[in-house]
Amino acid sequence: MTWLGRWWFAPAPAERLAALRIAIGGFALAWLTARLPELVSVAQLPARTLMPVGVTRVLSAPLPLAAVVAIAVVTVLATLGLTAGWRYRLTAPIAALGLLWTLSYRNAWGMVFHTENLLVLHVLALACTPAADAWAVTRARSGGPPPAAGYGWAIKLLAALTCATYLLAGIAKLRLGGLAWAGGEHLRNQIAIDNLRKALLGSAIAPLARLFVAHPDALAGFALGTLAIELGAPLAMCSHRVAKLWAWAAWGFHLGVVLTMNVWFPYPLSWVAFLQMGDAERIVTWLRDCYLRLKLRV
Amino acid sequence: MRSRLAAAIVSIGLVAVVLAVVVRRPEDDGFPLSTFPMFASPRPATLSVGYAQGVTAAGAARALRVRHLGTSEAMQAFAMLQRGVGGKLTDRQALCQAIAARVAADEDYREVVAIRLLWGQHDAVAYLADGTIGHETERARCAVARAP
Repeated sequence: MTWLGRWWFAPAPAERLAALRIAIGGFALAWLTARLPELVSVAQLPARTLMPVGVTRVLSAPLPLAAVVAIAVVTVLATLGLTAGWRYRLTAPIAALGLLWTLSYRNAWGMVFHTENLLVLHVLALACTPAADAWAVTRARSGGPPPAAGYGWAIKLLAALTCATYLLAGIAKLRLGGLAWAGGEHLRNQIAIDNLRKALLGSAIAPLARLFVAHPDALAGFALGTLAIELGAPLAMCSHRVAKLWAWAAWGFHLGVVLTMNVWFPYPLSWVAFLQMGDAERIVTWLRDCYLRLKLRV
Repeated sequence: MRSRLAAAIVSIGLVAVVLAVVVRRPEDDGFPLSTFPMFASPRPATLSVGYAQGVTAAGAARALRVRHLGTSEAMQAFAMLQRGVGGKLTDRQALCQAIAARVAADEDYREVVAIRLLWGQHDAVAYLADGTIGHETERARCAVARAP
């Protein structure tokens, strides 16, 4: 095997991948459940406002509301199964395809949101991995030998998808804005326009928007930092330490976006999007220990 | 995915599909395979934009809420307004009436008696820095009809 193969298939514990399944699946479950009312609202918008994206391009007219709700409910149930590791080989693909369809349909009404792309990609990837070999209600592998490919590749795949999406965002900035994007003026105008739209719609303006628009020099640093984080994302694949540093930087970037534009990316802000950059199983172990300590006390 | 070959195929395939969007035009966005063009395009500070406004009996303007557009998403509401306010007269009137019906059912907006659809040209930086309002054109107006 080449060094690339040895690196990609470096061993990792089944519990780490299982922890990622629980965290990512749990987030998808909570997200989808919380978005159901919004999905029902947009599904009733006039048919002429339908602008299919992704897999929903097969549609020439909106689906009946009952079908939209039925697909979403089946997806929620399958995502529950994926998270719990219940009949994983059946529930995981249904959850992944259901999430892909439901969120694509949600984005097919004239506005493509960029808050859900990575979540969908992570769930699609998880569905192809042996993520229910530990901490599962019904284990996919009951007492047999571990898979020949191990579990490390699946964790690296999740990390690679995270890095790829940030890299693409950086490339888009260079392709559309050129190196001038790093100067800060583009960013100042983006912040001003985004907040103006919000003000005209009666929504809250971001807390630091007025400050940054009035002092654009500070934005040059923020713009440079943004490009460095996005274009430098592949470096996070190099080592655990670099990955953790990069994840904190990316999280800080999202916090900056909240403070200047009031635009929320819940998946990375919750840290679930970056869990694969560290020892994810320690969180589950810690939670389990807390539970056992509490149980002992009671 | 048990064998290394299958795992390698899945890994290479998924990452390649995600990265393949670089051959598309950056503006050619999709879901979930996106070029992530948000905030990337250079934009002038001047914004030409459609929006809706409530009008009180005294003639004062009152900003509406996103929910009055039939969604809870600000960006979704924004996209709908751009199409609606920039559309044909019948579309504008239909949008205005739909907003008016939602406002009529909103107890917090009892003092709003009419809805205006406006097309405005604003300097976003000046608006944000000192509240300077640009040029506004009324595109539609309708009354908020409430049950007596």
